[in-house]
Amino acid sequence: MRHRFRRQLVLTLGGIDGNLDIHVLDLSTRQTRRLTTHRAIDTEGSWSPDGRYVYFTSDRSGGPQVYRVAAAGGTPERVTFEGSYNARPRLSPDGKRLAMVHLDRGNYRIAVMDVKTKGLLVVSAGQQDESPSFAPNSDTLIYATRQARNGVLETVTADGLIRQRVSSGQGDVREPVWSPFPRY
Amino acid sequence: MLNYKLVVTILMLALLAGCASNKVPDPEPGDSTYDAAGSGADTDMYGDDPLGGGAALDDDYTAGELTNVIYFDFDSSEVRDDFTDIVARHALILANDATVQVRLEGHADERGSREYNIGLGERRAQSVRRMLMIQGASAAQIATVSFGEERPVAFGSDEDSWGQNRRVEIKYTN
Repeated sequence: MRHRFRRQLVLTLGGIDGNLDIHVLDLSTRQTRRLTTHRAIDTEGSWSPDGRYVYFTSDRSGGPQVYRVAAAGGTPERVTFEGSYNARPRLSPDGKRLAMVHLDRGNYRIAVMDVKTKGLLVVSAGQQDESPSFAPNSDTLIYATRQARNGVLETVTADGLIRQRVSSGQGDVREPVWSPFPRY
Repeated sequence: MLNYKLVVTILMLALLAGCASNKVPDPEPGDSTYDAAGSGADTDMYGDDPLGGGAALDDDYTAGELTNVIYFDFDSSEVRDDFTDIVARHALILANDATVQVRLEGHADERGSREYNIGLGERRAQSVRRMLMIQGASAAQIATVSFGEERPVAFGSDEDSWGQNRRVEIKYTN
């Protein structure tokens, strides 16, 4: 199937009143298209792999949850329902899994949701884990966690069974992003 | 059409999206599933009470040193009663001299996701902004910015540190 790919950025912009909303900026025309209009915080936009949807975090329900909206515009729909805090969504490259930061009994952990069944699985075990990113195979994630006061990285399989610390020597490491598929 | 103040240039790797239509998004229906339900997170509702519950000013509210930091409760962007006098005194300064300008710098504690916390800091700054304007400051005198969780003043991972970091700093810029 052929898609007409265009160079577009999803971004969060604040209006004059500081209210954050999700927009798409077309790099060729320089036009922005506003995708959300709610007075809640709408932020952390992220593309679905097919470019049809923008997933984002919104606290329009009272606390942060993951929503998605058609990139062309439309009514946002809520995606996550389990728990009181789900934020910073990232789709797996195959589009079947959604990773997010999830509040798990007082701990901020990485959870993976099966997009079809909506089943949610907590796959990390820290207290302040964040910024999950899928490997190209969609079966492994990397994310930031804490070791003492420093940020370090861990990988985990999407089933949560195999977790590994990524040795980083020193420093405060955060916000990892796995490189995408090579182009065929 | 970048007539939106760029609060955050959140990034999101761009890439390609299909679908070339320029359809204007439908207005979103108010989500009726307002389930506020105590998320353990540093989130909050919208600070619908900019006057801080209408608490009366203390008689001597203009006395004493004026602090420039407003602290917020866990889960809230509402200005607490014990800070309404302080905000009122800043409002008075602004209302009395139109050339005075402030920048409201909003902050969140470290918990939860980083970008979302930028939104929380912004909302706290907006809450103070509204309160200043209701009491006579003009929009032109007030700028807001959010640093999210990136500029903590206390570095512990405990309630005391988090409480010190959930704040708005009122900075006089001229």
